[in-house]
Amino acid sequence: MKEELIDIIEPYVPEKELLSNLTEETTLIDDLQINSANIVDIVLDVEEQYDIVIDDDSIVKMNTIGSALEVITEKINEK
Amino acid sequence: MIGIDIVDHNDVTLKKRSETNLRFISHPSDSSSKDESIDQDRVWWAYWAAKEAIFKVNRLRKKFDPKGIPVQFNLPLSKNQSSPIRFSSGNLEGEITLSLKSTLAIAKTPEVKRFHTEVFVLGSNNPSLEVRTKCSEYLERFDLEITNHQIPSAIDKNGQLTELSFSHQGTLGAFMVNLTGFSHQ
Repeated sequence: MKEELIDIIEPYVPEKELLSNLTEETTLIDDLQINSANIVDIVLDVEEQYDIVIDDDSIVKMNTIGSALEVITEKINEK
Repeated sequence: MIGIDIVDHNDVTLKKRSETNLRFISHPSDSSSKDESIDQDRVWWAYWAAKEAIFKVNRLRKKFDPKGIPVQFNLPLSKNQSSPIRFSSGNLEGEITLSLKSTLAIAKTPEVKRFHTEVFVLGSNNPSLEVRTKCSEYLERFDLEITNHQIPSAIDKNGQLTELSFSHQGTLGAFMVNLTGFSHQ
């Protein structure tokens, strides 16, 4: 699932070299320099790909690769 | 204190926002007045940009959470808005300028009486640096230099500090300078 998430995130990362050496702690905005406006686009892509609904409170938690994976996994398991 | 946010509507990475997507950014106290002519996507971005600008004014070292920021516009959001629409959020005030190409929001505390904003098309692949460089060029006429502080600010020869705010998105960059108390050299 991590690879799938990276595929979703990749179009929004301005400098693709930032995608090398990703860890669970990598932050979407500070480390990957994703524009804050695009975080909502990532959530919309995730919802579409996994047919899940990310609730409003969970979006705030999705600030690192690891926390985003946790939220997605939790929502898939709730289906 | 000041804050600015620019949204480039020609940015292909931005998906069209629907009314249901307002759930991501709505505060219970947000004003919901809008003209029926305006596209829901533009309404979404009006709220987003206003909230980003307000967030920057507050300069809190925490993650941007638009749902925690109320915004009240003083006029219905309209497709044919030719002049800026004012908004407020607590003791902060601001205005939003809607156009086909962009949405620009600025916000400030009431004591800021004089400020400058600039919006421009980016030409490099380092938008953060380009916005700072453009701002730095503007500040030269006031003998101000950008500081290395984490909070965007500039300083004059007498050590007087003033606030700056930067924004970039897609192909557009913007900056805002608080000029209250500064005069042209």
